[in-house]
Parts: sequence; C-alpha cells; structure tokens
Amino acid sequence: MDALIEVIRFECRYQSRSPLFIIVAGIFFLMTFLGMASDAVQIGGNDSALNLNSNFAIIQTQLVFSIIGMFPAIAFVANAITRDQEVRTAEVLFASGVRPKPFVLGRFIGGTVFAMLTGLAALAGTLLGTLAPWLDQARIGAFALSPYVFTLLVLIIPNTFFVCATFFTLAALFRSMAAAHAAAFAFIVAYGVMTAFSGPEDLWWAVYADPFGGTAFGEAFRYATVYERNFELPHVSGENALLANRAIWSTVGLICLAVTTWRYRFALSGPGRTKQQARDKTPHTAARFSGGVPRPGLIDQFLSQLRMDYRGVLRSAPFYVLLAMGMLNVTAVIFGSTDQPYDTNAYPVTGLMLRAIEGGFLFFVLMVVVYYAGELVYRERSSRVADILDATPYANGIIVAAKIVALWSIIATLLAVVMLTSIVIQLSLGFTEVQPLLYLQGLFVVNGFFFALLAVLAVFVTVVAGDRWIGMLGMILVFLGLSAAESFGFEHNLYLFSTPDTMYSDMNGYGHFIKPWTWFTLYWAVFCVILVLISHLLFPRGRVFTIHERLKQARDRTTGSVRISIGLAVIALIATGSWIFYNTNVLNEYRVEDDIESRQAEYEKKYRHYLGQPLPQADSVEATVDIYPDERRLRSTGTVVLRNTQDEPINAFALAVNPLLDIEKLEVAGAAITESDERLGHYLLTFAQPLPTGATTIANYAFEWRNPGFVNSRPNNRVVENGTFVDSTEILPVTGYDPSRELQNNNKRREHDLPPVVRMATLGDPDWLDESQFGVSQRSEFKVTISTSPDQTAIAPGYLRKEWQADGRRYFEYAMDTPIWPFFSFMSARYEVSKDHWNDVALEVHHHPAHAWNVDVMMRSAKKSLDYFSREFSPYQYKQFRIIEFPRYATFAQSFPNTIPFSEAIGFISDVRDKKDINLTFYVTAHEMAHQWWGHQVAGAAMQGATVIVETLAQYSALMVMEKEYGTDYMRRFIKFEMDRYLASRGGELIEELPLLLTENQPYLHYRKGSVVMYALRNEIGEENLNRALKNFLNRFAFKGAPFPTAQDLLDDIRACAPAQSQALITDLFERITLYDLEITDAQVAANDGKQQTTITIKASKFTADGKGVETPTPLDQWVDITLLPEADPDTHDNVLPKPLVLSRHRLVTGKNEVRINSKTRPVRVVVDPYLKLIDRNPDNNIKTL
Amino acid sequence: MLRIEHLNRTYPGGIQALNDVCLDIPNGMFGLLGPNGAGKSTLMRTLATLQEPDSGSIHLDELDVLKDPQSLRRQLGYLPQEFGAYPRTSPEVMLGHIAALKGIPGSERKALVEYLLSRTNLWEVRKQSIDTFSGGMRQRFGIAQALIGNPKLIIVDEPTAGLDPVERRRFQNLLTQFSDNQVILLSTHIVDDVADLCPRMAIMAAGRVLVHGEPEQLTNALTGKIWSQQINHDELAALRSSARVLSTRNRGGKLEARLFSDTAPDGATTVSPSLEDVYLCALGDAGIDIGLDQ
Repeated sequence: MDALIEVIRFECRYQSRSPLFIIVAGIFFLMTFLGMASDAVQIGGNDSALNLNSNFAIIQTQLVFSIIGMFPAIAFVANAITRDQEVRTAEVLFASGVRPKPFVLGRFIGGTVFAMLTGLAALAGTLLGTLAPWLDQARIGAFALSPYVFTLLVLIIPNTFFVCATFFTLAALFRSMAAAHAAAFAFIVAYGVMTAFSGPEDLWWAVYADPFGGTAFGEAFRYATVYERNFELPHVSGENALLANRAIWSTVGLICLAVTTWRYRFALSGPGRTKQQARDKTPHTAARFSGGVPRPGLIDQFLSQLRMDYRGVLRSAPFYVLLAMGMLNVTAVIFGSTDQPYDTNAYPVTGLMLRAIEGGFLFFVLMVVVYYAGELVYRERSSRVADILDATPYANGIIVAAKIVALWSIIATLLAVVMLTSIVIQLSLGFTEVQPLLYLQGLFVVNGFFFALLAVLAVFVTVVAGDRWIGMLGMILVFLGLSAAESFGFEHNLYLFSTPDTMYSDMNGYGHFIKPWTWFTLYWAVFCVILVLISHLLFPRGRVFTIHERLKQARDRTTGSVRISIGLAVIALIATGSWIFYNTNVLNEYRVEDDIESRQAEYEKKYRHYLGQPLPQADSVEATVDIYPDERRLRSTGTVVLRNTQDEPINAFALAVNPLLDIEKLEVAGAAITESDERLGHYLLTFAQPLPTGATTIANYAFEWRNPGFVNSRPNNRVVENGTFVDSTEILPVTGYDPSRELQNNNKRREHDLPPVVRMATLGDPDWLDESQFGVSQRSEFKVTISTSPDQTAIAPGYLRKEWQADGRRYFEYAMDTPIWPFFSFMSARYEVSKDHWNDVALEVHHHPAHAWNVDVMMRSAKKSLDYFSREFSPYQYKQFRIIEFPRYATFAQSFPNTIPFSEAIGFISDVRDKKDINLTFYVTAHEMAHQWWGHQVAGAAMQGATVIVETLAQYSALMVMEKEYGTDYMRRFIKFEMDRYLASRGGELIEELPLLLTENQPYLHYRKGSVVMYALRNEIGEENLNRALKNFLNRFAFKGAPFPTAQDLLDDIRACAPAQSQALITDLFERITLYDLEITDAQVAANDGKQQTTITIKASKFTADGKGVETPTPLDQWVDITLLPEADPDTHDNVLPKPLVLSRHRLVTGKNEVRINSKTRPVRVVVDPYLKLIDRNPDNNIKTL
Repeated sequence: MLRIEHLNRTYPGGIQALNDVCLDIPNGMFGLLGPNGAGKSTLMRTLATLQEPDSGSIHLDELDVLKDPQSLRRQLGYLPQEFGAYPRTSPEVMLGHIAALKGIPGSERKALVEYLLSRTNLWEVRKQSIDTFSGGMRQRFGIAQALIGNPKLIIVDEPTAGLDPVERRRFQNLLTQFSDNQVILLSTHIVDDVADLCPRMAIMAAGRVLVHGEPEQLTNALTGKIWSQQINHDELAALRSSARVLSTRNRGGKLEARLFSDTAPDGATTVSPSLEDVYLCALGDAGIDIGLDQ
C-alpha cells in the first residue's frame, strides 16, 4: 500500500511538472471558455433558442472534449507505462525492487487523475465562460451547479476512466506508444462510423456501443423540448440507456485494468533473439568499385530516399490501421450519403460518392498528413540514422523533397484505396454505372491537389517547429487559427490556406466551381513552392544546437538559385493573387457572411415600414428571359401591368429587386423613382398623380444578371452552364417590401440590434385576409419568351405556344391560359424528355439523360395522384404536368403551375428497387402534384396556419395516394418517421412551438406533425368524411380572390364533416400541443374455453405542452386501438405490421388500465395504437411480445 | 593528412567542448583517447561536418573542410558513437540507400553492398532487420556503411563501447584491414583499443589535446618513472599525500598502487610503463581525476 501511494505520489509529481499537462489543461480551459464566452470559437451550434448555458450545451461540449481528450489521456497513461523504455531507464527501474502491481496501479491512477483534471479544466472553462458579463444575457439561464456535477459524475469520470484503462492496457500489452496511437485513431474512426450509421431506425445497440455515451445522451435528449434541454437533466436510470451504457464501459475499463495489473511483468522490449537464418552462400568475389571521389547523382539520392520513406510507411503497422480505417470511414460516409429522407437510399452515383468522400474524408486526411509529416520529417532523428546520413554527400534539399513526395505518395495510396473501396461498394449495391474518370478528377485532382498542398504545409510547419510534437501542435494551432479567423469574418481564400468549395452535380459537372478552384489552387501551389524552399533552408542537417546555428545553415544554403526561385515564386504569388483579387474583389463584390447579414438587417431597418402599405397588383406579366449558359449570364426584360385593387388611391409603392442584378431599366408609367437603393435592392415609385382605385399602370424593366470572372465563395449557382433554375423573385421586380430577406434567427437579430422576429399575423386577423400567403392578392396572366443556347431546352410555367431558332439561339414562348400566382420559374438545360399522358393531360419529365431510373415512378405517381385528387377533391386545372430536373445545388422540388422543378439530388437518383422501402420519388411527386390543388387552386391568407392549407394538405394528399399504392401497413412506417422527426425537431425550435392550426411556417409542424395529425384524423373520421370536407373547402375558395381562406375555415369544414364524438380529438390535434405516453407494462395470455384471452396492462397519460415545451398532465379519456399480432414474418420490418389477429378499440383513462381481448389463435405481440394516431413521446414501449 | 588547427567550440550551456585543439593526423590509424566528456565526440562530429566549430580550421590534404563540407562528405566514412537504423530495415537495404546517398551509381550498388556484407560477416543476416542486431553486429554494420565510397577519411567514434571481449576483438580485426591510404580516426576511452591498433595517438580531456605521438614513444618516455607498491587499504590516504598515485588495484587483500615519480619512492619497485600509465599521467598533469582507484 505504501509502495502504491509512493508510486502515485511520484507519478503525480511527474505529471504535474510535464509541460503536456499544463498545455493541454490550458488549451482545454481556453477552448471551452472562449467557446462559451466568444463567438470566434464555436464548439456546438449557436443558432438555436437554447440558452448558452443550457444543460444540453454543457453536456454536449464536454462530450466533444471527451473525444478530443482521448489523445492527452493516452499521453498520460500510455506514457506512464512506456516511458521507462523510451528514456532507457527501464533496467534501472525494473531492478529497483518496486513490485509490479503497485507500480502499474500507481502509475495508472496518477495518469488517470491528470487526464481527468484536463476534463475538469474544460468543464471549468465552460462554467466560467457562462459567467462572462458580456454575453447576450437573454440567452443565459439561472446558474445551477447540478449540470456540472452531473457532467463530472456521468461523463468525465467514466469516460476518462474507460479511455485511460483501455489505452493503458494497450500500451502495457504492446509496450509502445505507437500501438496506443493507432488504437486511438481506430477509436475515432469507429466512433465516426457508428455515429454515421445510427439513424432514426437505429441499430438498437448503438446506444450501448458508444463508449463515450454520446449516442446514449443523444437518445436521452432526442425528444427533449427547448425547456427540457435548458433546464432538465436526462434520467440516468430512466428508460434511456445511459446507466447501462456507463456501467458497460466502466466495467470494460475495470476489466482491462484488472487484467493489466494482474498480468503485468517487468520485461524489456528491445532486440529479440536474432534468428539464425539458413546459411546463404557468400558472394565469392569481391567486386571492384569506382575509386576516387564518386559523383553523387541527385536523382538517385532523391529516389532512394523516397523509396526508403515510402517503404518505411508501407511497412509500418499503423499505416494499415489507417488504411483500414480509411476504408471503414469511406464505407460509413458513403452509406451515410446515400441515406435519404424516410430511410431510403439513393443510387450510389459516382458524383454522390465523391461528395460523401470529400465531406467525410478531409478531416481524416488532415490527421494522416499531420501524423506522417511529423513521422517522416523526424524519422532520421527518431531512428538515430541522422548522423550517418547527414555525413553522406547528399545534396541539401533532397531529403525534404523526398519527404514531401513520400507524403504525397501516402495520400495517393490512401485515395486509391478509398477509390477502390468506393467502387466496390457501388458494384456490391448492384450499381454498374461507375465513372472512373470522374473518380480520378474528383479524388486525385480536385481534392488530391489540396491534400498535396496540405502536405507541404504540414512538412513546413513540422520543419520550422523543430520537433515532431510541437509540429503537430503547430498544425492544430494553424487550423484553429484559420477557423477562428474565418469566424471573425476573414473569409478570403487568399489568406485562409484553402481553395473554394466545389460541388459536383451530375448535370453540371464541376461547372463554374472549377475556375476559382483552379486559380486558388495555383495560387497556393506557388505559395507552397515558397514553403518548400524555406523548408529546404531550415531542414536541420547534423547537430544544430541553437536557432542561430539553424539560421546560419539556412544562410549557407541560400544560394543564388534559391534566391531566384523564391523571388520568382513571390512574383508568381503576387501575380496570381492579384488576378484572383481582381476577380473576387473588383469584378465581383467581396462579401463575407456578416456583410450579408448586415445588409439584411439594414434593409429591414430602413424599409420595413413599407410592409403592409397598399400595393398595385400584377394583372399580367409579359416577360422575356434570355439565358446565356456559357457566360452564366441572363437578361430579363418585360412588362408588368399593375392594377390598383385597393379601395384607396395609391400614392407610392416600393419595389424590391435582387441586388445582384444590373438594372438597365426600371420604369413605371406615371411614377418616378423617388428612392433608389441599388445596394439593398429597394426602390420607391411615387406617382405624379395617385393611381386611382381600379386603374392600371405599366411597369417596364430590363435587368441583367452577369457573373464575370469568379468569386471567393458563395458563387451564383442559379445561372449555370447546364441546369439554370431561377425564379421570378430573382429576376423580376417584386412589388413591395420583401420580408423574406429578413434575418430569421433571433440571436443574429440581437447582434444586429433588431427586435425579435416580427411574428406572423394571428389567425383570423382581418387586416391580412386580403393578402394571400404568397404576398399578393390576385393571380395574373403570364406569358414569357425564353431563349437559350441551341443545345438546351428552356422551360417556364404555361403551355408552349411557339418554338423557333434565331441568331444561333433557341427561343420558346410559353403562356398560361388562366391567371396564376405571379411567381414563376425559368429553367434551361440539356434535357431528355419522357412523355406520357393521363386522360387528356400530357405528362412530361425533362431529365438529365443519365437520370432515367425513376422516370416511370414519377409518371406512375403523377397518374395515381391525378386520379385520386381529381376524383376526391376537384378536377385538375391544367392540360399538362411537367417535372424538370435541376442540379443538386438545391435539394427540393417546388410546384409551379403545370411545372415542377425537381432537384437531381432527390427522387431522380433514389434507389426504389426495394419494394419494402418507402418510395421517395413516388411520395415527392405526389406531394408536388398535390400543390397544384393546395397552393395553386387554393392558398391561405397571409397569417398563422396558412401553410396548413398548402403543405399539410399536400402531405395528406400524398399519404392517401401512397396508401392506395402501397397499403395501410406500409404507412405505419412513413408515419413513424414523421412522428419521430416531429418529436425530435421540437428541441430545435427557435421561437415557439404552436398548435398545428397556428403554425407560422414551421416545417416540422406543417409537414411532419401535419402528416401525423391528418393521418390520425383520417383514421378517426374516415377518408370519405375528410375528403368531403376538403371538397367543400375547395368549393368555397378555389380560384377565388380576396378574402383568402384561413386554417380556421379549413377546420370549420373538417368539423362540419366530423361526427360529434370526434370533436374533442380534433381540438387536441389542431388546437393544442397534445402528447401521450402509452406503455404496455404487462401482457399475459391464457387459454380459456378454446379461446385465447390476452390481458394487457397499460399505463397511460396525456399532456399538453406550451410553446417552450413545458408539459402539463391533463386527464386522458380516449378510445385507443389495440391489436394482437400473429407470429411476425421474419422479413417484416418492425414498422410494417403483419395482418392483425384482432384489432379493437378500447377506452383508456389516465393511469393503469387493464384490457382483455379474446382471439382464436395465440397472439405473439400486442400493440397499442398500432396506426400511430396519438403522438406518443415514447412509441417504442407500445409494443410487447408475449 | 588531416590538419586540425585551433579548433574551439563552446556549447550553449557554457561547456567548452573543444579548447584550441590542434592535431596533425597522417594516413593510417589514429587513436583519440580520452574519458567520457573529453570532447572526443564533438571533435569527431565536427570533423564529420555534422556540426561547426566556433573557430579554427580543418583541412584534409588541400581541402578546407569548413568551407566546403560537401566535398569532405564525398570522401568521408563516419561511424557515430550512437546510431540506429530505419525500423524494420535490413542491412542490405540500408547499405544500398547509404550507397545511393554517397553517389555510388546504381549499377555498382548491389555488388558493393554484397561485398561489404560479406566483408563484415553480415551476409547471413543481410535480410534481417537491423533492429534485432546484437551490439557487435550493429557495429559491424556501422563499419560497412562507413566504408562505402572508398573514403579518404574514416571516423570511428567509440566503436568498441559496450561490446563483449570476443566482439571487440572481432571488431578490432576488422579495423586493422583498412588500407594505409586512408586517415582513420578512432576515438575511444579504452586504452587497449589504442594500444592494440593505433600507430599514432592523442590523449584528450576537457576539450584539450593533452599529449600526442606514437604510443610506444609515449610509453617509453615514462620508463623509470612508474613504480609499484603494495600497501594496506588504510595506508592509501597517507600514500597519496606523499606520492602521486596513478592507479590502485586490489591484489590479495592488499592494494597494489602504481606511482609516478622521478625518483624511487620508499618500498616501491620499478615497473615497465604501460599506455594506461601514459593516459593517467596525462590526465593527472591536466588535473583531471577519472577515479580509476578501487
């Protein structure tokens, strides 16, 4: 015992003096402190309604440090056990009479205590950070000690113990730090893989498998509301797996420690016994060799060094660990990337693979580069061959060049392995349209070049640092510094050591991203030439004791050619830099994120008072759009006939024009521009004579959208070489003040001294009944002449009237025969067209030629939707329905009259071959088709609940078409996703959760909760009643002008068609935030008289929640479905129920309920609320297997 | 001929490792004898162009080494006191690499490596990792690499330290095979190495060259000045105050002390001087006690 205490005391003394502890603790403290107290360092996200010091944020931050802290922890404990060998004191120590057990245990405890102290430093940083007086006090909750104590006990102590114990064991086992590091790498990647794999349809074991408890914490917080995330702590012992997780991994740690302590023997690593090899015959002749002074061959030297270095890496075990992890990592990100909504998958097209790899791989490559830069640069020194080699006549510069090329070779090897892995995955998924050339371009050029530059930087930093570990720290600091600079608004790639992001699209290739990428890559390559030369000058040769001596060596090496090379490189750097600067800052405006936000804020501050002022409405729009895809240029000219539909004359009105446009003409007959703000895109037109009620005037405009040169970031992805997609708000004048430009995030608004978001008009506000949710109060006539290059097709809403060629360009004229909302899309690309028809409606899908996979699904969905909607709701108002693909720069589909722009990222590449999967293409097509009714036939007034009319009803319509196509059981799966997303999104609410009826454009409500509510409502009152209500609603409001309907009008129609006993439920669904918690606590089956009687005990409760997520219990008294299920088909998905033995309704009240159900055959499972009519906070305990 | 003139070097900590070192070293084996910390390795590394002196000059024949280290390296073979190899690398590969760095053309490299491996008796283990070598094998590898390129100057720093007697003998034999057209500089703290191998030598301590010359000559110079005396252990202190004790040795419960004296001390018998006596005398003259007493 004394010996143990002595060892611990010694260890603590040793660790407390080691600079590593002080540095790590200091960095951790600073990072969390600044992460909390400043905007520059971001550990978690900032864009939420959560308090800065919410329990969630405290725990989340500490989780991040649990993972980062692994590396110092390794240094503490693995070093504690291996350092005697490294500093060659092992013999002394092992002979000194300390017994192994106290030695091992003592060192472990000492190391672990210090590892925990670094975690505590991070926690202390967080705590002090939250007290910083300059923080936005609106986001600071009352101080509580409990989250810190909780974090310490549940997170820091178990995690550190586990990490220390396992790495201590590994280091003791292998007696090497390298093994411990390799294990840490493996750990991080495995962790990444696991996190990537655990989606909503989790692997049930993911919560247990995560040694840091991150997944378990995530699950515990999954459905937590804003309030709960702020002030409540997860129940350690509750239904979540937190306790089990902590127990499992602490036990693993204990076992590791016990085994190590028990098994540890003092032994020296080092030369094993030399193997006696079979005696080869000695070469019998001594060869003759060049006498005199050999002339060293530069290339020979370089190649030999390169071979030694590359070979050295290839022969080291960590490299294979890294390769394996790279493959694993890639596999994970690839499978992650093909994930689409509703747990569906996309086809693994090569472009998608590339995006996945570059998204998930950069960090990995960065780790590899930093690690191997240190490894290679100091390889001669660490393996003590430097003295021998440095005395040979190799030319200075050979070594550093070999190191860089070796690092490049490592990266190339890694990329090749990644590429092969990716190809194998593609093939194994039955996908054969692999694009090898695209892999080469994307991996080895677009990403590879940057990695190569990164390698040079890493070598440079390592050489300058003069020590491997300081070099690594240096690289980390460089990257922290760069990302800090970026968050301070220094975004120019000219100093961030970065090249602009590129995005590959199947339609548009690398498109306009390539030009800036090329120039910035060239620029940084030139910069790297300078780094290489400086590395060459500073690369130590021989024994260098002082900086002075290093500089002398450098001076000696500064030969004329080095001078000239540096000079030329500097000139080239200035030249390319100037050219870039000319493009990014002169030809284009250089704007950082903060500029953009400031402008949004400025626009709002200056012009918001125009909101709600009387506006003339467009009677007709006649537009001309000329698209020049090669130049990424677009001309938009046209005439808008404006009518005063107000009761009073209009004196003046505001116009919003996209500030990116060059304005050649903007005239309104009878009005003069009295305010003109080109920078913010605001104009005020004042009539000489006020425009009387009912009178019209004509607006003429001519705009040009040019994209000269290239930009630093955020390129215009709308007007592109192949796949232009712009809408009318981007290229036409928009009447009035444009509230969509306002900053939506209240935290950002406070930074810009803006009041909190002005909320939508309350439901039923009479002032807003005359304005539709699209910001206008009437539909207008529409006609457009749209031209493009001769190889492309240009498409806009309306029917094609004419098509012709002139001046080497292709012209199309589209016109709509009925008035439509004045919101239009304009597209141009090289399309292949598939045609079909439904009755007399022409169906067309304009798609990228390589994306033909799901065209038939789109057609089928369109037909089924047209069938259902026109039968159940009202006739389809157009003679044509077109889906038009656009590049993946945006990932949505959007419904314009008879025209649906549809992103290549969704639907087109969905893999719908597995019939058990939700068919995303079918669903999205049906949803967009439904908007031809919900949106184009009827739209809500601009107030709360408007999106219920448009989006919730489109969701419902799509659900019905899907149910007809795929069956009821399939729907459980869909609804379960919707429910999960709704519940999980509540914690991310920025302002306030509202009952569905009052939703203020909150997608998780109008889509996700909307689906659940509408499906439950359908199940409650029946499809016929519900559709009758919708038909009535359409009858009242379709194609009508102001006043526009509200969600209350819709609800009135629904209530009118619903039986009396359903009214309470309708209130719960639409007008309250209602949540349930049903749990089968027990279920027994007994044979009785030839029948099987199942007795089910159900614990039931019901809550209502307020906007922040505070829940209040309310009495439950409700009829709920309960079903008995037979043996499940082993193939059946858990969320697709087999045909029930019995399905019956039972009245449940708050508290314990006992239900008896008879069945002919013995049931295997019991499910309460099988069709998910109730929003249950924990749907997983609604099933019990008997 | 290697000419070292007024070489000085002081380390950042203030330790003067070289103090006005002057030496002329002709072709053949030259022994540099000195205790640990004498500055031998500093001198060796300086000669091997691995570090620079604060002042002084070094010439190999006509070549100004400090001005043109690269030219020296082309004619240099250097076996450092402590060295390793790349991990998991065989002598065959390692020698090939060093040969490439030394400028041996690719066509000759393989044959040269084979020749060196067989000459240093490493042929059988040529594919084995150097990490697994014993001390003697490692030193033989060290010599093999130093021989690459037929160097004019070979520097061998403490090559026999830590070797067992058999290995040491083997290594010494290897060294004796070197040609006489080369300057071979052997540093050691073991007197026997010099005595057995070197026709010329210098003794170095505290950064200074104390004496230099031929071992035999230096030994002969002490003839008649070295005495041996049998004493009891408790008489040593008294003896020290009256005479200059070079070394003591246990012999049958008594101490045999070797004394330096121009005249015969009481009760001492004259003995023939050894190189060790030369070494200890030189150190004693310089006021350095390396504690050879037992």
